[in-house]
Parts: sequence; structure tokens; C-alpha cells
Amino acid sequence: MSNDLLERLRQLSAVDRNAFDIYNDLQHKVNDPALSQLFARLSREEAHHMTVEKEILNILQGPEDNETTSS
Amino acid sequence: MKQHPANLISQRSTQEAFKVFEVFAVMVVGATSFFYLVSILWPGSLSISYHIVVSFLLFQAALSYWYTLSVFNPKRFVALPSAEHKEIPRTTFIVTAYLPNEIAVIEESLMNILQNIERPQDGVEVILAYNTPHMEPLELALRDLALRWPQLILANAYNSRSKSENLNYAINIASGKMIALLDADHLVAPDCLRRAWRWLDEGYDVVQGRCRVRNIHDSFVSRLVGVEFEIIYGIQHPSKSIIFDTSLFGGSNGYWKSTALKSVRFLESMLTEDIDSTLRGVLSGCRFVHDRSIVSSELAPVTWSGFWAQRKRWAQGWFQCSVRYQGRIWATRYLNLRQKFIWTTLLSWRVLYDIVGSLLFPILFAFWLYRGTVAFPMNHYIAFALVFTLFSGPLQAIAACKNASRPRAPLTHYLFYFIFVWPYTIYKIIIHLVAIRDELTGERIWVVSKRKAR
Repeated sequence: MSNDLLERLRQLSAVDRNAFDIYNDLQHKVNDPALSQLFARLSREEAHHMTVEKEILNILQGPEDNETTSS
Repeated sequence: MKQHPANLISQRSTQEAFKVFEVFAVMVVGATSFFYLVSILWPGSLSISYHIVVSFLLFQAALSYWYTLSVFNPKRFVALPSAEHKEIPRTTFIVTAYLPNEIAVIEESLMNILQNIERPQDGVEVILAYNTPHMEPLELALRDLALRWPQLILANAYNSRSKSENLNYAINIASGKMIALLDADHLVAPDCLRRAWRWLDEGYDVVQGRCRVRNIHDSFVSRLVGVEFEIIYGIQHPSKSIIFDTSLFGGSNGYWKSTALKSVRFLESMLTEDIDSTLRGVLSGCRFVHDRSIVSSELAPVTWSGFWAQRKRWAQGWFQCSVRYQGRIWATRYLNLRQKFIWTTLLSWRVLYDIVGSLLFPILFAFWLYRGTVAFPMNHYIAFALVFTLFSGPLQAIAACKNASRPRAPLTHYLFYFIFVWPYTIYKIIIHLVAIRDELTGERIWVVSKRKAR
């Protein structure tokens, strides 16, 4: 179970990072300030997901290993 | 206004045909006129030029014999004292795809990795690094796949316009200590990681596996390319490892130490990002090896136009790398003299050979004009060179047949290659010359191959 959980968390962390990159990019691309703020909010939320995922990964596998998975 | 794809293809074909015409005008009409005029002023020049060109062909054929004979020595893997015998580490597979063109093949390639690969104890991750101009229905199917397989990461390399950008994005998120790079159509063998890790464990930074063509029965073109790949990956690449202890990353079925790959990465401006990364790796001290026992199958182009686009990009990319890196290869302290020699034959010699070799006919035509008759100047040297050169290609086909990956293509395919190797070689030289013309005029287009499942 623990291994499956790790794999799933790594996967979700990568997906969140991908979403973060895209929202971050869109935030700078749109001209409308309201839209830009909404994209900024989304990218902050993705960043928050990544932080929490990192905390869980730290608990599951120790902080050292996690350094390599969330560069 | 957006053009219909068929119109674009037709327009592109016309442009390419015109380029061939330009190259012929320069290399046949121009060169013939030049040699004819020089022969009027200096009659001995034609004979000297003719012998120089024949010597070029002879030298290239000699290299070919050397490579061919070297692979009759089946260099098996022997663990060196430097081997640490560490367990195979967690490995990241990076599969790159341009989705609209590779929809038909990507799912099968991912499933092959997820289901069939022998996994190391620390597991694998599979990153599909893709770019797409619009949302594809396949993306939804891929998300279902990711739900079933936690090892699968779908990385939309947003804003990416090239394979290099897709790769760089995936490299940023890769967590494995070994990274396997695969194109979207590659079906890699289950034992690839075990075989690749042996080399990395004993100190190499990159190991390139063998690529074979699996759609050899699809067309005349794919049949020729199938045998050619057996020569490239069964003779040319392994021979460089066996004789010179150097090799190159060929873009797919390559296994990197993640530290090396994260420092080398890929340049978006290069048409052959694989050769560019190889050269930057070599120049920073990375060691490359080829192992023909690590097998992966891929799809060859099935049409001459697809073949033309692919090979022209390769030739132009090699030319770019020759111009950019030849001097640095001579100067580097990471290569010995033998390795510098072989890299020179791959870089500037390759360009020189294409240009000088293609002057044979203009010199001959100038000779006919000068003498006013059609005659082939012949002496013992020329006769020897002719026979020696003509047999180098067929000998390679025989050696490739002996060392072929399994299941071996039918013998008739080798016979077929044996018969067509010369027109095929001339066709490739024409492509190389057009590629040089494109690079000199600053024209750089990457046509992504469209793949059909097989």
C-alpha cells in the first residue's frame, strides 16, 4: 500500500506542478487584470497542493529522498 | 488565412523540387563548367581532381570496411573493475510526443513500458512529455490510463514547440537516477534497464541501444530503411564503441545517468538535438557507449516524402553540429587522438565527403567535353577504387544480416538492399546537399513525422 501511495503522490505532485506551470504562464499572458488575478489564484492553489504533497512525501519516505522527487 | 494541409504538402514538394534543381545547377552544370574551363587553362587538372575525388571515395570505403570487419568481434559485456555492482536504481522513462501526429502509436508505447518492462526495486516512472496545439480526445483516454497506472505522469509541455522543449520540461520533473529517453513510436524490450544499467554502473554516462524497424513490410521505403537501420545500429554505432570507445545518443532508446542529462539538457535551436547533446556531453567529459543488445523497435517512414523530410533534418542537424563543434572536438582534453579522429569523420569529413564525392560526375562530364568523346579514364588505381568502393555497401548488408536483431528480416530484404544500395546512397547524397543548401540559406523547418500504428 505504502509503495502505491508513494507512486500516486509523486504522480499527483507532477500533475500539480504541470498545472502550476500552465496557470503561471497564462497569468502573464492574459491582458485582463481580473483574469490574471484568477489565474494567479489558481497557480497559488496548485503551489499549495505541491507543498502539502511534499509534506506527506516527507512523512512517507523521509525528507532526503524527497529532495530528488520535487526539484 | 490557414492553408489546407494537402496544399501545404504540395507547396512544400514544389519548393523541395526547386531546391534539387538549384543543387543540380550548382553541382552539375556549375561544377562541370568550372572543371571544363580549368582544364582548358591547365589540362592536367582534370586528372588530378579525378584522382583526389576517387581517393575520398576510397578512404570512406576503407572506413566502412574497418567498421564492418570490427563487428565480427562480438564484444560482450564484461564488468570492469570500476563496476560498483549497485542495484538498478529508480528509473524515469521520458516519452516525447507531438500528439496530433502520434496519437495512433502513443498508447501502445506507454502500455508496453507500464506492463512489460522488468522494473527495478525502486520502481519506474513514465513521463509522457507532449505538446499539442489543441485538446485531443486522446488526452482524456490518457488520463484514464494515468488513473490506472500511478507511475504514469502526463506532462503537457505547455508552450513547447519542439521535442527539445518537451524533453527539458520532463527532465525538470524526472525523479529517477537513470533516465531512458524514447520516441512515441518505440516499443522497448523488457530487459532494457538491466542491460543499460551495467554500463552506467561501471562508469559510462550514456548508453545507446539498438533501434530496429518494425514496419518493414509496409513499403519499399520502410524495407530499405529496415536494412539500413540494421547497418547503422548493428555495425556503424557498435564499431565506434568497439574500436574507439565512444558513441552517440541517437534520440531514442538512450539511457542517461540523470546527473549527466540534467546538466547537458537539450538545445531548442538545434535540428538534431540528440547529436548536439551528445557533443556537448562529450565536450564536458561524459562517456558514451553503444550496446546493440538493448533493443527497441520503431516505425520508419513509409513514403519518399516522409523519408526526405526526416533525412534532410538529420543531415542539416549534423551539418549544424559540424560547424559548431568540430574545432572544440579537436581542442578537448576529454578525447584521445583516436576518438578525435572518429569524431572528425562524423563531423567535418562527412560534409566534405558529400560535397567532394558528388564532384565525381562533373569532373567526368568536363573530361568528356574536353576530349569531345565519352570515355571512362581507367588505370589500376581507379579500377581498384571502383571495385573496393562498390563492394563496401553490399558487404555491410551481409554483415548486418549476420548480426541482425531478432526476429531477423527476410533474406530477400537484404538482397533487395544489396541491389538498391547505390541509387539509395545517391538519393541520400542529394538530400544531404539540399540540407547543406538549406542551412547556408538559414532555412530551418522541422516536419514532424506522422505515425500510423503497427
